[in-house]
Amino acid sequence: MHMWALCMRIVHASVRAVPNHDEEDATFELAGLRTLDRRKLILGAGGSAAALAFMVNHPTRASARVSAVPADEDPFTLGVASGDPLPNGVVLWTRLAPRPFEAYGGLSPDRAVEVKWQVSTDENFSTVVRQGTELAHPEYSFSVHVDATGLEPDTVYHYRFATGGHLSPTGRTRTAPAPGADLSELKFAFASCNSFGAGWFTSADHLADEDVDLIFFLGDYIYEYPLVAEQSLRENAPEMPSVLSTSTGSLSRYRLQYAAYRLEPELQRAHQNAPWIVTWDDHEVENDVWGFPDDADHVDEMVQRANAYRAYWEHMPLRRRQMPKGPDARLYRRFDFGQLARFSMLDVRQFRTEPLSGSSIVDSPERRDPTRSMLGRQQEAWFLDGLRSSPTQWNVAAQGVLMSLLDTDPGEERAFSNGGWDAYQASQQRVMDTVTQHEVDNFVVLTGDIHRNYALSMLADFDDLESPRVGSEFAVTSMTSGGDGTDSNAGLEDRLRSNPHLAWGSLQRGYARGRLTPDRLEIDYREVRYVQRKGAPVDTSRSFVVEAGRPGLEDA
Amino acid sequence: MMRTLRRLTTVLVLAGALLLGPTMSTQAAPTSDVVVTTDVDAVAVTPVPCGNGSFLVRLTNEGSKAVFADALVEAAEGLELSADIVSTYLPPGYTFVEQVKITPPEEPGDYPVAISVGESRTEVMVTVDDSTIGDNLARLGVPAGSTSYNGRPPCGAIDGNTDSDQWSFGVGWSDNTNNVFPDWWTVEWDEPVTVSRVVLTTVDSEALPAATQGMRDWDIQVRDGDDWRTVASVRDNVEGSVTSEFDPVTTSAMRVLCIGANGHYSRILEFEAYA
Repeated sequence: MHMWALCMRIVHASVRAVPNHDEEDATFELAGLRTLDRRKLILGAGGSAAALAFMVNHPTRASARVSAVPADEDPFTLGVASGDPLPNGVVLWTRLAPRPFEAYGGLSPDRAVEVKWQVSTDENFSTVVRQGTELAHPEYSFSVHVDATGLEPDTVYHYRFATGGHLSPTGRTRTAPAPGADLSELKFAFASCNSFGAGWFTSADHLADEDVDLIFFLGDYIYEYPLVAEQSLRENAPEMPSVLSTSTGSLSRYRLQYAAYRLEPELQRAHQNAPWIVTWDDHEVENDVWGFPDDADHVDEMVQRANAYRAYWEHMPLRRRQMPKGPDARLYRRFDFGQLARFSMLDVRQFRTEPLSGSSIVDSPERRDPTRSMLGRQQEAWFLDGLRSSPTQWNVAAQGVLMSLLDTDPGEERAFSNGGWDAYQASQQRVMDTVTQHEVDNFVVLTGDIHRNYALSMLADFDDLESPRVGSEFAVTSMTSGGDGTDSNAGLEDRLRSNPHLAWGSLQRGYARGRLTPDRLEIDYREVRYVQRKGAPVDTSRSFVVEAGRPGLEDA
Repeated sequence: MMRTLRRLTTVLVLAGALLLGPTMSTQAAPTSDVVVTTDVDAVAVTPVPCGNGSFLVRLTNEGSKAVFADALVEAAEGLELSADIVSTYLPPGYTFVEQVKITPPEEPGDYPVAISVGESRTEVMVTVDDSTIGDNLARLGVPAGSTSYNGRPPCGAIDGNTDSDQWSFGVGWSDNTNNVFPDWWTVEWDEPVTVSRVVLTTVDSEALPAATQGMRDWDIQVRDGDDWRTVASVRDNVEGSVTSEFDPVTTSAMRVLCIGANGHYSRILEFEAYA
């Protein structure tokens, strides 16, 4: 007897259907009356057989019909993932794709597929604490987002999926501690910028081995470019399927891009071993994308964004409330870990004002225009309010682009990147003012995007480099983007000279890990010396400590 | 020869493409609201390594509500396309355009492609024709570049297209190292060929004049054991097209060593080689 048969005798804990109300009823009944003939039930719930045939072009009805995956092909080619842990639950993700580079992953588009899931306290699943059934729908490329609730706080769980006689790999996850819990330690990692064509996923491989409770991904999970061997920086890059040779833009093409990334075993393992909390930067849509208005001049951009956002949601362990509505999505959200830390996940792309022209900008009235915004009015109010009202010892913003001032001019003049918070100076200073005036405890920013490790002290007033330190920013380098790195170069030396609040920088590849306690934050920058060849080891290149109540950086 | 559509039964069963609103709970639009068309009814491609052609699939939402739609692209056996499905968001009145690239099979003949969104269907006939190769030996070869700018693949230099105005559509090769030289572009043959004349065409349009954006200095080289031997050199060029003649040489590969450019990149719109 298949092990599932045994498991399914235990009464299911919860069943949630995905797409619509009609289906929710049907599915619930289906799961509750498992011994009855499945086909009869479906027909009964959806109307007569004739009605179903008539409605064959009506997707929500069509997909309410259930079929099995082929018995001879593994549907779990893209692995499993978990994310967005809460005290009582976590999102469990998988996507069925026996042939990931074919339409619908090689499955039939006129049927949904039933997927069973289980959560256990041990990796042998001898103590299953929650289980249920979810429908994987063709409209969402047969992805599954189980919002597994009813779990215990601050607990390690193991999870897996099964369908049509196939069993998924087992994932490991962990819930957040109870609200107000006195948490003594939180171990996490953070990473960004994982271009497929720039190198092998060595950083992800080491990330998977880290003993952490949580992984933050800060954007540029995919890059939008064609994937072809001849343009790859990977040594001995194999030929790629021709469906990857075009640029992203359509929903189907974005899906293929995620499939290519998720087929990489290192990235699968990094998802499998810890819950992720993700946000996007620009390349999930397109380089340097910004929050263009929804008007007649930007319809093409809106369509591309809707396609990109939908593929992102389908492939990330996100809840339904993060699901995009056309070109709009609510990705910014908050996670409290007991009394220890509040993490604010920011979306620095969807709402930002049109960038100033030129990749490098100088100071100007436009740069300081208070109506230009990095987050948009609504998100900014939400973020600053969350800082003012925070009940936690540490207040962490996890986001895409450099928040601290960084003068990029080597001489007396000042110059700034047009992509970071420096180009939205009023937004930047409003954050610093909130932190300073409301005495926000232990403000820390985790940042991606720039393909460099930068450790910076954040100042009350970035126009006055002598002003008090009120926070700390840790920008993490790319996992692969840019290809093999170096320790330093002339540009970095210039920046260290021009920016006294910049404590350290590096241009190697890798990720970072952190350990939070009520008294201190420890950060280790983990670097790999090469990514274009396989097999680089990982080392801690530099460590920092932030003592609670003493903002700014000191060497560990 | 006419080929039958692969998975014909499947096509009929799947004719109902998926359409649904931007949220899962939104009502689906009737299938007839989305119409699929293509830019051409027929495409001729050449059975050489870089003989790729393409056509455009257009999805139009004629309804009043935003939908997501899937167009299934079903190719006859043996024909490789860059997409077997085109899915996209479609606001009301919007037309989404996707380029579908064709990798030609070796065997000449007619290969039908069926494209459908629900009940809206259209067809493109892909004809593989080897009569257009002519005596340009370069078209039979496999090219490579030292680096390639995104969307400017090595194949662009031997695709038979010498129209500078189409430069941004990938009809030529460019390296990807801004203002760093030399760069190189090669073409390699399965069997050695004898060459005595090459024509190199660089960009030369109103937007990209040869005198400011084209190739300036290059050597034409042939493979000679493990080395490259120069058979012709061009210096200080400002023209769009330059012919180099030399004593006939038999070789398995040729190389353009790009020593300098009038702009920042090495740009070859077309490379032709003749006996």
